[in-house]
Amino acid sequence: MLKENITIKNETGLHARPASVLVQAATEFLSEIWIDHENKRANGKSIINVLSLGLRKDHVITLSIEGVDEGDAMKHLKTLFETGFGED
Amino acid sequence: MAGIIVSSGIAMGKVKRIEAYGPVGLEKTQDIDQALLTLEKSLTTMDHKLINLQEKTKKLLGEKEAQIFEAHRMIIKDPTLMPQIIDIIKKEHLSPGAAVEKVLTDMELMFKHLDSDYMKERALDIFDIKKRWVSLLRGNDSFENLSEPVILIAEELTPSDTLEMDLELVSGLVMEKGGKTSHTAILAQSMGIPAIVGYGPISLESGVDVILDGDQGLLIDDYDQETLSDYQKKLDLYLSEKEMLKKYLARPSQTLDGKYIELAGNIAGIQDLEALKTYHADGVGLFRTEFIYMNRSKAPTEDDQYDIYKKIVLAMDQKPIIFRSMDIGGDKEVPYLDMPKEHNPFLGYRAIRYCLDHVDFFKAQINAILRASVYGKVKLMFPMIGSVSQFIEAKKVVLKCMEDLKSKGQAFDASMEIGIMIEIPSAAIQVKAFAKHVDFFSIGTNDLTQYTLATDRQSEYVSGLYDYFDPAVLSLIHQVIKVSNETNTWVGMCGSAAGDPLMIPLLIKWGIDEMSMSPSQIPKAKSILCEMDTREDKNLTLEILSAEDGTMVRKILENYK
Repeated sequence: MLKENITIKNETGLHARPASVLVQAATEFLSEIWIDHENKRANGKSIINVLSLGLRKDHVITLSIEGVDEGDAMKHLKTLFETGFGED
Repeated sequence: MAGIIVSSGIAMGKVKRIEAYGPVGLEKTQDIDQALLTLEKSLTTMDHKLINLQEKTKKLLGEKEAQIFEAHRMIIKDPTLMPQIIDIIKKEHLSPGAAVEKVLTDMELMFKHLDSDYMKERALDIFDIKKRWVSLLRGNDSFENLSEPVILIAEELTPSDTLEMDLELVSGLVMEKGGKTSHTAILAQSMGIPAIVGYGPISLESGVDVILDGDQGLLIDDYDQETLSDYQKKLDLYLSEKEMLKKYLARPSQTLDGKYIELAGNIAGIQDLEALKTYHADGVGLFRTEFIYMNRSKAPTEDDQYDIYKKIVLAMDQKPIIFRSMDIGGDKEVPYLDMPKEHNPFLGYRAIRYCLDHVDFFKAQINAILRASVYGKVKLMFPMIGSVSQFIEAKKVVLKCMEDLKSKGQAFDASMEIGIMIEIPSAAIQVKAFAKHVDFFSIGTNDLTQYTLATDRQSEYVSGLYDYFDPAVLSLIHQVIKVSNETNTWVGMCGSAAGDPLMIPLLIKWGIDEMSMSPSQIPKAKSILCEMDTREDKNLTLEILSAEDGTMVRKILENYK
C-alpha cells in the first residue's frame, strides 16, 4: 500500500468540478483509493464521499492506494492534486 | 377568479397537470425482488433522462450549463449510493421510491451541514436528483411524455422544467403561483403561447377539457355549447390571422414610402433566440440582462457573462442588439445582492442607481459586453437614467473599462453606441440636453407610464389608472421622438406599447426608428407597418394631445383606422 500527504491547491477548494475530475481518474484504476482528512475517510471513486469531506484550500489529506496498479495510480492522482485539477 | 395575463390568445384542449414533488414517506413494499428490479431499471431510465437533458441544455444554453447534468449522472452512479438504497429496501422493506427518498434526504442534510456555502448549494443538486428520481418511480406525470397538444397546469415551473418541455406540444400554460417577470412567463410570451400566472389553486385533473382565455386571464372548464362555439370562432379567427400574417414574415420592415423601421424583439437570454428566428426579428431592441443574474445563488462572473453574451451576439449574425445594463431592484429581486428593503422599491435603489454605487460589480458586466461586442453589432443602454450628469458618470465607467481592456490587449468594438432608456419623466423632459451626449434613445413605456401617472401597475387598486394612451404619457413620447428627429438621434421604443397594434401607426407617423416587442408580436406589427406611410397627420396629433384621457385617445385612434 502507498501513502502520501497532499495539500489542496485549488482556490475554492475541492468543489464539484475538480472532485469529478478526481473521481473519474480514480475510477480508471483497479486499486482501492482512499482519502483521509481529520478523522473522515472517503472512497476516492465516490463523488459523494469526496464532496462530503468539504475540502478547502490548504487542507492536508492523506491519499492511500492499494492494488495491482497502485504505483501508476499514485503518480497520476498526485499530479492532478498538484496541478489543481486543471483549474487556475 | 382571473390570473395575471402573461401572453394573450385562446387555447382549447386537455389539461396536463404537473404535480409538485411531495414526500413519499415510509411507504412499504411486499415484494422485495420486484422492488429491487424496479430500482435497477429506474437507474437506467434516470441516466437516459439526464443524458437527454445534458444534450438539450448544451444545444440551447451551452457547454457550461450542461455540465451540471454530468455531475448529476456521476452522483446517481456513485458506487456508494445504490448499495445504501438496496440495503434499506432489504432491511426495512421500503418501496423503491421511499428508499431513494430516504437515502437522498440524508445526503441532502449532510451537504447542508458542511461549513462551506458552496457545499451547502450542492444540497440543491441532490434535491433536484431526488425530485426527478422519486417522481419517476411513482409514475408521476412529467413533461417528456407529451404526445398531443395540452394545456399545462402547474403550481410553478422552474427554468429547468421549461427546458424539459416540448414547447411545440404546449398550446397553453397556467401557473398557480409566479409573477409576470418569471423566466417561464417571458418564455411563453416570446413563443406566443397563451399563458396565465398567479392563478391560485386549481383543482382540475389531467385529461379534462378546458378553454384557456388568455385575453381575459380565465380558465374555463364548465361551459355550455354556446360558450364553446363562441370560443371556437375566436380560436379560428386567431388561427386564421396567424396564417394570414405569415406572408409578411419574410418581407422587409419598410413603409409604403420606403422608410426602414426596425422591428426588434425583447429577450431575456439564450432561450429566446429561437423565437427571434421564427418571427424574423430585425434585431434585439431590449436584452434584459438582469435575467442572467436571477435564479442563481451568486453573481455571474465576467467570464460567465461573456460566454452567454458572445453566444447571443454570434447567433444574431450582425443584426443589432441593444444590451440594457442590469435593471435589478424594483420588482426584480436578486437575493444574493443583499439590497436594502425599501418602502418604495420602484422609486428607490435600483438599476443604474445601484450600479454606480457598486462600480466593480457593474464593470464585470460592462467588460463582458465590450468583449462580446467584437462578434457583431452591439449597443449598450443604461436604465433608470434621470439626469445628464448621471449618464456621463455611467459612460465614464464604460470608457474606463475600454481603457482596461485595451491595456490587457483584449479586443472590443471601440465605436459601440451608448444610449439611455427614457423611462423617468425627467429624462423625457430633458431630452434635448441628453441628445448632445447620447448615441440613441429607447423609450421604455412601462416605467415611463407608471412614473408619469404615479400609478403602480402591479397594484390591483390603481392599475385601472395605468394607461400608456394617457395624453400626458403620449405628449412625452411625442416630444422625445420629435427632438430625436430634429437632432438626428436614433430613437426606438421597447415597452409593451411598442407591440400594441393601436399604438404602432402613431409611432410610425411621429418618426420612430425602431420598435421592440415580444417576438411573437412582430408579424402583426409588420403587417401594419408595410401597409402605411410615414407622413404625419398634424390634425391627428393635435387631437390626441389635447384629448381628456386615454379612453378618448383610444376612440380617436380606433376611428382613424
